[in-house]
Amino acid sequence: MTNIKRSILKALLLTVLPAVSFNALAQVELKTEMFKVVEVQKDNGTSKIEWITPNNIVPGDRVGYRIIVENKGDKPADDIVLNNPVPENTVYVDGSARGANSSIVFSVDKGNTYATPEKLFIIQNGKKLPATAKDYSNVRWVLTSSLKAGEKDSVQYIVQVK
Amino acid sequence: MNKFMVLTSLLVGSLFTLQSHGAGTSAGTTISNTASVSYEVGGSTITDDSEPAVITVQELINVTIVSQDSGNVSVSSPETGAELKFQVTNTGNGDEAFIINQVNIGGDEFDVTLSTIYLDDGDGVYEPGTDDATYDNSTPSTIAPDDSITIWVTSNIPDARNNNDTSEVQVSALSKTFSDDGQANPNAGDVVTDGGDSTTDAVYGTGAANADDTAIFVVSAIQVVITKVISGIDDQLGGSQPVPGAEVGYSLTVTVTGTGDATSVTASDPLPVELALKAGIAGTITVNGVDLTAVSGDDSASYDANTRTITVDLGTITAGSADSVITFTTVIQ
Repeated sequence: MTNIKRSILKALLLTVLPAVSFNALAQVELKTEMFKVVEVQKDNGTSKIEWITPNNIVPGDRVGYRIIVENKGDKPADDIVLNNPVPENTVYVDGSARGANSSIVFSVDKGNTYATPEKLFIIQNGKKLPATAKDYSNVRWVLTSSLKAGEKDSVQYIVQVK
Repeated sequence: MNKFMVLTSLLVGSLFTLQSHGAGTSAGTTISNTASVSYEVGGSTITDDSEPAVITVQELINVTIVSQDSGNVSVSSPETGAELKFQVTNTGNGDEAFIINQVNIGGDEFDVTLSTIYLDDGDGVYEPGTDDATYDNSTPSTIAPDDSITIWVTSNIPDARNNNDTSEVQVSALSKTFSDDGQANPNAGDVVTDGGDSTTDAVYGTGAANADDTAIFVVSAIQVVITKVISGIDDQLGGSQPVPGAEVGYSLTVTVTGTGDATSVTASDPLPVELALKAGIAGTITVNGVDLTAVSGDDSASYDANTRTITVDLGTITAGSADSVITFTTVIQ
């Protein structure tokens, strides 16, 4: 075997092997769906919020993200933690994170530490201040129960485009 | 919509009063969102990412137009080219030009003949046809996000109007993108496909849908105008450099036009801290060629050294009579 052939084989092994082992274990599939969150006026004077196809997003619009986890394997998946950095050029909309069967925590330091809203603080001009929704850099959902084989769950939150 | 979504809807409803500030994220910017998951299967921890969900921010067309005149604008009857000042600000997130329209509003005493609109050259001074070019609605200048232009909207005031008659004029700004698309009266949320910057769509904003303002002309049978010019600088060194100690001469001209008498006309000139009247209250203020003392109470001219204000009581002036000219010399401190 020539050196060239050997190095090609080595490269193949390096790239293929991890992927093979990954596929063998990866059974939870993750999908992010996005929507435009709009307020629709009804005839009786009230309004309701709808999640629609995200066409023509402009500054000030709200974008809803739904993250769907599905266990496509044949074993239960435990200790599921979902993490979503709040996208650039958007701010988290206060109180919008949802997820049945999950505890929701936030980060104000790009995901280094997480806590519930009342335990989050920022330092501004040397003063420690309670963090507000616009300070959140990451949203984390810690699922409180396992996802059995074939089961599906979803969480969601809303951002506003700056 | 399932029950879970309905619950979300109710809770989020009250948050819609939040507003974004400034022009916002530029048209064409992509917002990419990738979620990640970690979990355990058979004792191994596995992590994975979702495919990114990508949104491109479209161009929001928003604009404000605001009258810059404080209160009603006094005009004569008749008067040619009476000007109103407006500021047009692009509050959208992309470059946009605007078509400016002016109309007479009803419910007042008279209508004006709408005339030329001028684009201010940046100094905020009305210089029609010289420094300020005619605003061409067929090729209006593009305004960057958050930038403003100042325009002068001119009108001709009809003859034989009575004192205190008013005329209201409305000036509006329409997005050129929508105008070019044949949408002369777009509503918030209307779209021009591919009409935005960076091949985005142009979306009409709520601000753009109400982009107009009004200003009111009021006929004043008599008008008093004061102008101030520097008549000369003597630096006491044989030159004319405005250095400390230099003497700066000023000339104030008071002109009364129209018909009737202007009573209790008082010219007042508060000098900046850098200047003081030469010799202070012992100095001289010349009114229509007559030297008066700066000290208060002995004649119609006075100087207050604390506020550095020169005051001349000109009394009653009949419209059309010769200009009143006030001259004095100051010293740079």
